[in-house]
Amino acid sequence: MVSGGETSGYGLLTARENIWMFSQFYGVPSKVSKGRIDELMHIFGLWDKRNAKVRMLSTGQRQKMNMIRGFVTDPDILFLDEPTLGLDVNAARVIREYVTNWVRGQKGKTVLLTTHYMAEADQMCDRIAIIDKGKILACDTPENLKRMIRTETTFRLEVDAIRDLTTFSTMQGVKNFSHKDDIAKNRSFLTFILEDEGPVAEILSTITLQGKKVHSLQKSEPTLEDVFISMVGRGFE
Amino acid sequence: MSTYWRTFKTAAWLGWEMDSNWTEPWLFVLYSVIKPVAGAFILVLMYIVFVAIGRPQGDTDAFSYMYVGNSFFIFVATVLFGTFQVIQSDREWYQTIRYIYISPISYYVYILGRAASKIAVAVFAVAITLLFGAMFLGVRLHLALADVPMFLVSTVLGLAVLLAIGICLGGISFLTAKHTHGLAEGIPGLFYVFCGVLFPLSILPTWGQAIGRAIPLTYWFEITRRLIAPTITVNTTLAGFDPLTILLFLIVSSVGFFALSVLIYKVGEYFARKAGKIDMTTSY
Amino acid sequence: MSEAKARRSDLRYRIGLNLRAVKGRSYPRIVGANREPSWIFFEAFLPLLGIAAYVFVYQFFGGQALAAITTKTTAAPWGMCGHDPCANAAAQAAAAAAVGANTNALVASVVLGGTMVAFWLNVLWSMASQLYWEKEIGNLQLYMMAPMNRMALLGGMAVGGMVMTSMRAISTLVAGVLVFGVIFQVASPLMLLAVFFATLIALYGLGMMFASLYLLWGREAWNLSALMEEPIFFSSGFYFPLGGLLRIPGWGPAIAIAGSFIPASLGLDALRQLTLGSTAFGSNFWIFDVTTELEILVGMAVLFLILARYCLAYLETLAKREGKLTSRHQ
Repeated sequence: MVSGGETSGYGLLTARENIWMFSQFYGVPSKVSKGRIDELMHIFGLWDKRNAKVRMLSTGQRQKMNMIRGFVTDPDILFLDEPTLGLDVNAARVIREYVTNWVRGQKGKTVLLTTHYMAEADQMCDRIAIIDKGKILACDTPENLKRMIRTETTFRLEVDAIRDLTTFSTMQGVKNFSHKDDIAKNRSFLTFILEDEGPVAEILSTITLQGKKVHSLQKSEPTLEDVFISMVGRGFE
Repeated sequence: MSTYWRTFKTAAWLGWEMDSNWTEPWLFVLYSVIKPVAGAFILVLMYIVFVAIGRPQGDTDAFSYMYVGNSFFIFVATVLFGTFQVIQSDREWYQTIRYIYISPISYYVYILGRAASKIAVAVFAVAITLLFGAMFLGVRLHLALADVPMFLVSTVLGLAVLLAIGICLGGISFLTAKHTHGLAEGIPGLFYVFCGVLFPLSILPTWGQAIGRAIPLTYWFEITRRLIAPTITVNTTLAGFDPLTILLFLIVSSVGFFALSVLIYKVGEYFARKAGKIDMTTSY
Repeated sequence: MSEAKARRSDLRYRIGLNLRAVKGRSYPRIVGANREPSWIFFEAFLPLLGIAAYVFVYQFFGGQALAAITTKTTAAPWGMCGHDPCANAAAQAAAAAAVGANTNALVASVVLGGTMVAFWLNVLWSMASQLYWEKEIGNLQLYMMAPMNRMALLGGMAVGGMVMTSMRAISTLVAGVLVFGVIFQVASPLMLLAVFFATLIALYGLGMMFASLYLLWGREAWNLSALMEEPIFFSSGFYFPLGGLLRIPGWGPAIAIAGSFIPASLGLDALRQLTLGSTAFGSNFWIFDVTTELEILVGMAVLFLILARYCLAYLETLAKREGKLTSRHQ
């Protein structure tokens, strides 16, 4: 199991020693383990830090070390809990690519990934379960999940910052609605999932009646986030 | 000033909660008493064994000397531990040091506040231990009313020195691994040996006596013993000085120690910041 | 593969796995701890001072007793031998020699007690509290997911702890001989080794048992360990022969019996007999003879290891059920 943001091992050991120690708990012979550690350290770009004490590693480096710890035992099933939490773009990409290749390149390997990043789930997972308050609302391939709401229409709008949003949720024909604000730009980004295109005119007139300008309007293919909003009825918190 | 006071107050509250809220109040009181009383009993048994095999007529003077010194030593062990472990526990255990350290408060005052609850508990434990000794073990205590002011002044000074030493150790532990127990046991041990706590300085070799005389706690134990157990006749090598002179020694050496402690703390903190060690974790 | 072969290879795999786990967990203790040089000062040198203080206490008592013997008065021209004046110079010299021998034996008792203190503190803080500590720093959940036996994990901690603590124990012994001039007379080295290792195994077995109990607790565990310092030093006779407690009518023997459940008590009693001679202190302060104490220690070692095994399994399940396995800062 590897969790994002976790601290594991002992601060007085080096990154390489810490991973080796955990490999011993899984019965991996030292020689095999050390070979794998070196290989994985090269892949994850941690080779330069192999002899650094764990306490001296950055968050990203520590997470890479944790990932290597997960893979060094060559598990059949690996639990990844928010593995890219708080990581920079490059580190997150390295991890995502490695996990995807590892699970797809070999037979009999399973990764159970929990994540709040929908794009990550879309990119990495063969099957996705959407869980809300402990209940599985849907479980299928990303494509099938998206197909489930393809009968609906998703519209994204960028408008002047808008405060009164209550009317949108209750508007007839609006199945789901979410929004994000960009305070720096003084803009609001509205996402509507509609039963059909009928309510678009009403939405636009509601916005313009408030004296707000519509900067862009886009009809888009549903994303996993849309699927989530459609099922759960709210955006991510 | 109000920021310092607020920091102190909040840290003292936090320290008290950390020390006591893990259990029921009565259990906490019992816990706070059992440890020091058991420590005193080790000495009682050492005395009993020695008397049984080597001195059948007993030596009540030596016993009283040792018992009173040991009772007041509870302050040393508790206050020192209460001070330096703030850094180690915040760093290694709760891992909150980075948030507290960067907040706009004096970390120095914060440590003092955290130690305050330990002092409160120590006062209680010292009183219980002394009372037990006087009631059941024949320790002869007598504090004259006229000596009370001097006793209070010396106690405050003694506690101030202990806080200063604790903070100095805190500065050192910024740079070291998690050695809480080595420190908790070892540093008080240093004072146990060199400050005439259990035995007079005359037992030590000359160089040991010189070390003892350079530490303010030696004078604190001497003056405290003279004031609350004046009938003890053990020769302490400080017999030639009257209590007021010893109080003066205590004041002078305390000032020196305080300055040294601030210096060491600052140096420790400076190097820890430079090496990025303020929030390191070093468990093994 | 035949079923028997599969079972055999499974057994071989499990043995290999658990031995590797022991090696893996002892590694940070042995290598990691020594990597931080400050430990020599904090863990080996500083604790010597506390022991030195107790040594000086006995020397203080010895000095006072000797002064009483050598101080001549008109009523006692050869000093006092106990309650009565010494009969002559020879009696005075004999009394002084007895005080010297007793003081040496008591100082030696403190030195031996000091080595045991090192192991006891290691058992408390690095065995009993360790699973609790692992929970605090986030390792426990990873250990619980690994396929090794939990006893292997505790075994690794114990092996590492014993090796690391031996350094401190040896430094105490060396200081005892070189600095305090303690004289040990070891008549039966094999017996000494047997008692020493039986004591350590029983002691660390007890530590393993505590470790599993601590899984359910938060800071109570830490405070319980703190509570098991001075009271155990006292009830187990770390700084005086345990038989001293038997001299106190009423509660003394009760404390001594209670203290004897800590293997260090009988272990120390036997080690003192083996290094000072069973005639030391007039043979009046020993609990049992060495052979009996060794038998009890071996029994304790087996009992504590078995109890630890069952406690760990039971309390792990309980901790999982109550969700306390990963809850931190309780």
